[in-house]
Amino acid sequence: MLAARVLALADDADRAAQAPIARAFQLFLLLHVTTRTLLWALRAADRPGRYLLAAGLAACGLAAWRVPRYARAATVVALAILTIKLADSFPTTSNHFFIEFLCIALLALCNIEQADERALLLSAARWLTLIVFFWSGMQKVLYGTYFDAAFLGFSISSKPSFAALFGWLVPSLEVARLQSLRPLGPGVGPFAIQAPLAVATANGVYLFEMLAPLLLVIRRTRMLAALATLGFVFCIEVGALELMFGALFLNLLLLFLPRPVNRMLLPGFAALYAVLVASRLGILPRFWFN
Amino acid sequence: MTLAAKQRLVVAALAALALWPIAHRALVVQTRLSPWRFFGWAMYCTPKLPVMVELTALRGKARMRLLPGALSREERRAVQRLSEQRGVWGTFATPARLAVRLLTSQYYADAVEIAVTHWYLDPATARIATQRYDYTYPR
Repeated sequence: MLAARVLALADDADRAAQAPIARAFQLFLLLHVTTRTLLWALRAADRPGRYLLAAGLAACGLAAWRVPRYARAATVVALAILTIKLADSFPTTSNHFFIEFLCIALLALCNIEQADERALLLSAARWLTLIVFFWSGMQKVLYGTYFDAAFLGFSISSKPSFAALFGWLVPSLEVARLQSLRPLGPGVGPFAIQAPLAVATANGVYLFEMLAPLLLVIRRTRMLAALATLGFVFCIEVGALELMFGALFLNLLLLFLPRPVNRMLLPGFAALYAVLVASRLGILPRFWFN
Repeated sequence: MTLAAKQRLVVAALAALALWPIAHRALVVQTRLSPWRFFGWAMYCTPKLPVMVELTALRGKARMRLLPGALSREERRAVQRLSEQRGVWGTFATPARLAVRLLTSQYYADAVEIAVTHWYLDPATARIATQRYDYTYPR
């Protein structure tokens, strides 16, 4: 059957570790959507209903964690809550949310207590990761703003965080030129960068994003590709302080490892989210992250 | 639901997910839909740039530019809303509702013209370029 064959491409040769991997993925996702929804609620003091959604998701996470036999029911409730969030945030819903939503939908669909359904969940989540990663690269090609690093140049010119992160790729005179391209207006530019290192990096990004999915499908190269992709995503997301998306995508990539590394790292992600929420609440020093 | 049915459902959803970015790209080109929204995975491909709205009242052959100072607070909000909606929906967001509002307040005008200008980073020149859409609404 075609569907089974397609899914098998992303399956493991040995399914022994799938149970703890799937369980850790389930708990991580419930923790992640709870944190994201709480941060979303904190952004709008005039929308108390958002806190209710966050509280509902927290209850789902707690139920799934403490009473594993209710875990699947908890994901079904979480999916219903996220549907409300989707309706509330549309059309400015982030693509990040869509990934969370699909992953929770997969958890609601598949019973991870059963080996075949667990394998279905993990294969589907891996395919989702591959599709998102591949298209992130392909879209950069289609938009054409990475060949001459124009998008990077624009970002350096307009965002100090980008200038701090990627400024070392570009000679200081070029950085100064890019930062002088203000105020923005029709005709302003060019944002293209001459520095070979910056151009190579910009082109390397989409090449990696398009090539890595292929290497992640092939079982022989999966492990190495997963480690390389984890490093790549970690550097970009931490550098850009896209911490929430970074944590989600790292956990999706951890699904490609043959051991339950995601279970080992779960307390670390929980601690990270506690720090982020505390920072947003002002309990810890505030800093910008997304 | 059987395992086979679930597998078919999942693969169908994944296929839709894999093909949607092609349609998304076509929609962005045709309608200036936001590349950052609607799950096309085109974030960080092109910067989010403003959408400008210019209003002109037409009476006979005379053209009178409607500057923000000449508008009521509600009209200024409506202009801001149109700018934001265009940034997300592209040409799917038409200025028709704003035009109705303006034709009511600008009672002397035979028509109103609404020019919507999208800024974008032109990959050919690496400079900020614009695409303008003109809408004329007669009374």
